[in-house]
Amino acid sequence: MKVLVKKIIRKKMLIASLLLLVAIAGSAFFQQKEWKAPASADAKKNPLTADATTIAAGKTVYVKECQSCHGKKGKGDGPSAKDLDIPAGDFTKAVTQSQSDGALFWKISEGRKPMPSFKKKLNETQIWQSVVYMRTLKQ
Amino acid sequence: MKRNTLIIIVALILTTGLVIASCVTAKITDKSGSQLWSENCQRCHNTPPSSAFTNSQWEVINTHMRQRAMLTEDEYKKITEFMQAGE
Amino acid sequence: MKKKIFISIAAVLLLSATGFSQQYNQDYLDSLIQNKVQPLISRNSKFVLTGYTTAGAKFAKDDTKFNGFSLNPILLWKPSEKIFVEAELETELEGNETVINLEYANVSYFLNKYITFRAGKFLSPYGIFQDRLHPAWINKLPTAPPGYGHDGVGPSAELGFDVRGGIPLGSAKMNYSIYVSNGPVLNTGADEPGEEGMLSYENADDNNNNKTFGGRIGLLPFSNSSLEVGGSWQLAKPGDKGSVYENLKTQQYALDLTYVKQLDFIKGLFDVKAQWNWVNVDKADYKDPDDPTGTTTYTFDNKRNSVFAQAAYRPSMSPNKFLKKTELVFRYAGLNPPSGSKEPDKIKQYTYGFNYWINWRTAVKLAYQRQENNNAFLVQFAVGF
Repeated sequence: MKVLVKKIIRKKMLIASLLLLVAIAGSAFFQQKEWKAPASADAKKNPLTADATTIAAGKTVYVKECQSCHGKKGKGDGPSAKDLDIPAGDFTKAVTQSQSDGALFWKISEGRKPMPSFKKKLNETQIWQSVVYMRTLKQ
Repeated sequence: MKRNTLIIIVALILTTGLVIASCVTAKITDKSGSQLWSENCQRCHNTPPSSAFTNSQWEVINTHMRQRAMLTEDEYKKITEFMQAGE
Repeated sequence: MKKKIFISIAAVLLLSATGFSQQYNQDYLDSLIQNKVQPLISRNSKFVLTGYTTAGAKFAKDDTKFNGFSLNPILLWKPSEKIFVEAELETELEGNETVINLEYANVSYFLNKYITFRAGKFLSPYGIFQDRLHPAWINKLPTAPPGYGHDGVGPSAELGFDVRGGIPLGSAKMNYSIYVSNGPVLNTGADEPGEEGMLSYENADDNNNNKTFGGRIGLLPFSNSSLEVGGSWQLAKPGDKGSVYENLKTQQYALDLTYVKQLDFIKGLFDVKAQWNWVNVDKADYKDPDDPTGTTTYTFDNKRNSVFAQAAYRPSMSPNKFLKKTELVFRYAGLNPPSGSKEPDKIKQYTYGFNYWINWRTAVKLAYQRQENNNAFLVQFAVGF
């Protein structure tokens, strides 16, 4: 146990001092890896049309499951977004809006922490509905 | 004297609270894990991202919070499921 | 003065640098616990090692120093579906000595949806500060308001058992915690002259057979759980068995308020916390510590109270990455000892804070605290892990 603790401390010290140097050098801001849906996801077509009923249904899903982080207007400024280690996606911007419906469907289904996976929680229709609603948030 | 003011203040808070509560139709038991996570954690501390602990750790952490923050069983289950969704 | 500024800037820089390493270390620690520690523990007992650590500095007229070093490991076990064990070892430097204090250690049994039974040493379910807000990674200021701690206005921890739980009430919700414990002990001046009539809490050796009865009821009237109001009480007989103080009674009450919500019109998170405490002890005669012969006595109306009210604002909706992580805090705190007692005068304290949150449980806190003859500039680095 003692050896283990010593090991942790030694490794910790090493990491800490290395990072201290990094921080002092001012390059503490690290880039997160881009989250890309596989090409196969793009091929999946949205079976729903963007009519009023679908948008309303999508909003219901959005308010319940997405709004806490992505915010009322989709800006990624929901009440629980402030301390996420990877910022919540901004749906008003081209970064999100330029992605295909299939790619958004794939990301909602699979998730990548802190973004949860919704494939067990929501059915396919609900996920497509939320994709339709997300399109209305474009600015 | 002080005691009386105190009782009046408490009574006022409770009645206003209950009146407002009865106007709002949203039932807490209808809420999703996402909403419960967002609304409850922050009452004491910053809301943790699901990536803060591993999925098996979340079960223990949330049991700790069920006891400490007196979360209802429903809240505990939904929040844990939400934190554990995905890797 | 220049030197002071330099020291504080250096301290903040150093502290924030370690903060970055903390983020990286987390993954390492997590994997270590998973791979190395978990197998050491019973196969079906789920375990988490967590906690927090602090370091700080104080800059005052005659008292400038680095202080507030503590390491608080918290051990959590879930040996089976219905049983849960928690313990915190508060390790602090007091003077040059390392003091380890068992902050709490208890077992919970989840009897059903609404009832949890808990036994051991636990933080007093009395108000909100001691039970919920005192850990440095939660407290938004480097200091606790006066009246909290081991000789506070109101209890800090209990040895005994409690019954607690949360109950949904449609669009509202309530919670409760009712306990029986060893309870407080009355200071009669034998140990600490000048503190006659004060209560001390957390007693492993009870001085009498009377057990304390207390609890807290909380109500959350809104469906979004943003508001909570709570009322607490504790009734006890704190006197030594066989002494003249044996039948002396105390009644303690507290009221607490919490409101936390992200508000669109201020583009951020608004957080209000407040607690009022009243401690009443029956009138009694105490030996006058100022009389060397020890024959004269004195008495006073033994009623004390304390209060704190805190408001914080964090521009959480700001698109600016830096601003989003900052927080402004203001706290008013007051403490009124019984008039006629030999305790220090009443306290009025105003604290202004600025925090930078490196992550959800790690903050650099700067604060200016105004109190008569006790103004201080405080820095604290608090890391949850």
